[in-house]
Amino acid sequence: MNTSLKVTKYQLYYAYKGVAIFYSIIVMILFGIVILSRKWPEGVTFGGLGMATVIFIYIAGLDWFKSSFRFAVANNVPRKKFYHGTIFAMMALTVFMAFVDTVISAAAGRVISYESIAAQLYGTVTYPAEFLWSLGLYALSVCLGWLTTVMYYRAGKAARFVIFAAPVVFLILFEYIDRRTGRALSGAVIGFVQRAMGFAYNNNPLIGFLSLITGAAAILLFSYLFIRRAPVRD
Amino acid sequence: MFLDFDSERPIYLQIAEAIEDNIIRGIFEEESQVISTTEISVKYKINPATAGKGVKLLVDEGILYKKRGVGMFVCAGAKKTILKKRRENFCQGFILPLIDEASKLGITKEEIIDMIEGSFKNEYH
Amino acid sequence: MNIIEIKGITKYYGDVKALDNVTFTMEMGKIYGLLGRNGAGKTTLLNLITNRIFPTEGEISIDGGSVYENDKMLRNIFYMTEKNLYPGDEKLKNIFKWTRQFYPSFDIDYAKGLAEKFGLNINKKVKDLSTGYTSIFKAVAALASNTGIIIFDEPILGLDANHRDMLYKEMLANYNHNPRTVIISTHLIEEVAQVLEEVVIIKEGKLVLKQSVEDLLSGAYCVTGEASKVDRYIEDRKHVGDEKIGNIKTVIVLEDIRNKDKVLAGELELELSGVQLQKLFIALTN
Repeated sequence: MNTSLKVTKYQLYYAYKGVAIFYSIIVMILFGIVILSRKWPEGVTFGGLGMATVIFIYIAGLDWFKSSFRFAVANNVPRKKFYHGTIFAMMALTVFMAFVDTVISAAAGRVISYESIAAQLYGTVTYPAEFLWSLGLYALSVCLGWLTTVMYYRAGKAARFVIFAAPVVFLILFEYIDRRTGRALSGAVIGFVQRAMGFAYNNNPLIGFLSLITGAAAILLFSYLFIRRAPVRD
Repeated sequence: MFLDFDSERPIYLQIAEAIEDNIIRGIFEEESQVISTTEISVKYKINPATAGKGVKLLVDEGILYKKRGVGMFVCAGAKKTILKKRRENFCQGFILPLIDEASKLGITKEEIIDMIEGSFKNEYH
Repeated sequence: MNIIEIKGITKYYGDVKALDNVTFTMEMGKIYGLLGRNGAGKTTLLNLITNRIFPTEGEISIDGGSVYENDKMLRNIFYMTEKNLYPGDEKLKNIFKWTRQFYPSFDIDYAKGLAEKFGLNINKKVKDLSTGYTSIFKAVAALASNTGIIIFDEPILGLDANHRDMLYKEMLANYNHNPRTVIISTHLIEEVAQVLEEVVIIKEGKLVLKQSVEDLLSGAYCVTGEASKVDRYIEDRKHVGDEKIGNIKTVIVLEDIRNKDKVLAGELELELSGVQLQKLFIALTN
C-alpha cells in the first residue's frame, strides 16, 4: 500500500469515532421526531438534517490537520503524500455521509413528512440527484474546514486575527458597497448563485453539484500552498 | 574486567590486556571460548568497533582465533605467548617507572633493593 | 544506502543564522554522535536531513539523491525527535500499530519486549506519560523501526541512571544485531562517548570537527602542574581549555598523545593524563 493510502487509513481511523457518535445522535433525533410526529398536526414538514452534517463535516475538516500532520511527520511522511492521503480520506467520508444521509432521508420520508435540503431548494429530486448534490455540499464544507485550519496553522498572531476578523470586515464592506451601488452587488451575487446552483436552469441540482465540487477542488488546490512547506509546530 | 575511560590508554588496549589477564589467570582456558565482541560492547557500553579492535589485536598476536559461526577462542599456547610478551615489557612497563618515581622521591638504588627483598620475604613466606 | 552528504548547508530563521555553510559526509553503518551546546544547530541539521524543514542554501543527499519530499528514502529513516509529535489521546500500543503501518520494517514484538524491559505500560495514553517515559517510548519506537538510519535527538532526556544504562545497552545490542547508521544528538556527552564511533561537533551553527572518537581522544591529552611550568610546556604546542585553580593550571594539548614529551614533563614536574571527551568538547565549543 503506498504511503498516501496509509495516510488515508489513519485519517479515517482518526475521524470514525466522531462520525459514529454523530450518526447515533442523528438517528436518535429522528426516532424522537418520528414518535412525536404522531401527535403533531397534519402538514408539518421536517427537514434539513443535512445541515447538521454540513456543520459536522466542516468541524471534521477543522480537526484534520494539526494532530494528524504531526503524526505523519513523526513517521517521515512527505507533505505531498499527507496532502493526497487526506484528500482521499475527505472524499471517502463525503461519499459515505452523502450516501447515509440520502438513505436516512428516504427512510424518514416513508414515515413522516420529511424534506432534505436538496428537496427544499429544488423541489422534488431523485435520490441520485440528492446524493450528488449533498456530496457537493459536504465536499465544499469539509474542504473549507480544512483550509481554515491549515491557514490558521501557518498564520502568525497578526494573520490569525485577520483570518478571524476577515469575514466580519468583508460583510461590513459588502453591505456598504452594496448600498452605495443601489444593491447592484447583491444583485450580482444572487444572479451568480442562481446560475451556479442551477436555479436559473430549470432548478437543476446537477449544475449545483458541479459548482460545489468545483469550488471544493479549487479550495483544495489553494490549500496546498499552505501545506507544501508547512513547518512542525506546537 | 575493569575499564578506565579516563585513562590515556586507549580502550581497545585495555580490553586486550584484560582478556590477556583472564587468560593468564586461567579464567579463559586455552581452546575455550572467550567473551564475544558483542557481549563486551553491550556489557561495558562501548562501540563494537572499539571492542573489535582490541580482539583483533589479540588475533594478530596469535592469542585468539576465530571459529567461523561460533566465536572467538583462546589459541593453544596463548598463555606462554602472553607471558613472554609481558616479560619483555616488564622492564619497560614496571621497572623504569619505578626507578623514575624513586628518583623523584629521592630513594636510592640500595633502598629500592632493600624494599624489594623485604617485600619478597613478607609476601611469599 | 551508503552515504549521507551534507553540502554547503546554510539555514536562516528570519535574521538568525542557525547553520552556516556546513559540509561533511557520513558513511553508513557507524554510530555517530552529533554534539553541540544547546542551540548550536544540531536539531536544525537533523530536521534538514529528514525533510522536516528546508535549507536556505545548500543540499542534502543520500546516495546522490536529494531527500526533498523523497518518500522512498524517508521510509528508511526513523527520527526520534526531542519534541513529542504523537497524539496525546492515543494509546501507546495503537501508536506502535500505526507506526508499523508507515514503517513495514517495524518489529512490534521487539517493541513490546523493550517496553516491558523498561517498565513502560503500553496501555497508557501518550499524554499520561512522564517526561522520562515519553523519551523511553519514543526511543523504543525508534529501535523497533528497524530502518537503515535511526536518529535519536536527546534520547536520554528525563531518564534516570538505570534507564540511561539500559537504553545505551539496548542501542548497542540493536546495532550489534543489525549494523545500521545511528546518529545520536545530545549535549550530555560523557556517558555516550564510548558508545560512539565518530563525532560531529557543531558550534554556533558551524562545523567544528568530524572525527572518530579514537582519533580525537588520542590526539589530545591533559597537562597539569604549576602554572608557569605548564606554560613552558605548551609554548609551541596547540592547546585549549586553560583552567586554573590557585597556582595549579590544567591545559588540554592538541597533539598526538604518543608525541607527548615525557622527559620535559618530568623536568617540569607536570602530570600528563588522557582527556575525557566531555572536557575536550567543552573546551572546543567554548
